[in-house]
Amino acid sequence: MTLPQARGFVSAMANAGTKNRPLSPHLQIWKWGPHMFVSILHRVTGDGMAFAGLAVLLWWLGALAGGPASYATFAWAMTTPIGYLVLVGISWAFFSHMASGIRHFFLDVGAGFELQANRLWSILCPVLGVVLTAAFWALLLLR
Amino acid sequence: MLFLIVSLVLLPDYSYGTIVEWIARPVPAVMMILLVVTTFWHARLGLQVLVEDYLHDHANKFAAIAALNLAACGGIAFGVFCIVRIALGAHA
Repeated sequence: MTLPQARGFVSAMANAGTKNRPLSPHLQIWKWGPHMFVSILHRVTGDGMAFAGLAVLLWWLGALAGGPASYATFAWAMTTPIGYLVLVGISWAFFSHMASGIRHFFLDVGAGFELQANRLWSILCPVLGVVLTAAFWALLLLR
Repeated sequence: MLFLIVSLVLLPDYSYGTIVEWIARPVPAVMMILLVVTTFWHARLGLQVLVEDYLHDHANKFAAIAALNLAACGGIAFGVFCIVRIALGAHA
């Protein structure tokens, strides 16, 4: 940082936001690996559930509390092709987020940072997410 | 959450009557209430991280976090109210 910027630091902080700060490039530089993928997947699935999943949850509860007629609307909507797509998407987001979340738990206690172990679990967690989703829907549809 | 998933797998069908009967019982009702509270809280925490990562303007950040908190509390209130209403008998 040059001196004029350093002197103006406080006022720059107060009203500039991100406009004059250089950001270090990341997507253009780092080679993509499974660890990056599982990390952003964790964020995307979490935020997807926070919007779509919570909306469906509240709609479901509200429809139930509102009586048979409102529930019928909900049930009709959820059994259309788009409805199924949304439900499968939410369930996949849940299992993926849970798998990478448990991976985070292990990383938090300091385990799993070795190169091979980290790579293994980075690949395994999204796969586990898909497998658990498939198992869940198989159980739902085939009983 | 796992309780809900296992219960959904074990419920015989998803008609209005079956689900209302299931939610009205004490253990599922309490589990569902806990689920609503903890899920909205967890979602609020996660979205707060998102806001802090991507919004740097003080004003935008404040508005977003305030909206988040309101939405989380509103969601919890609505969800818990619905479950209590079903459990205490306001159904056909």
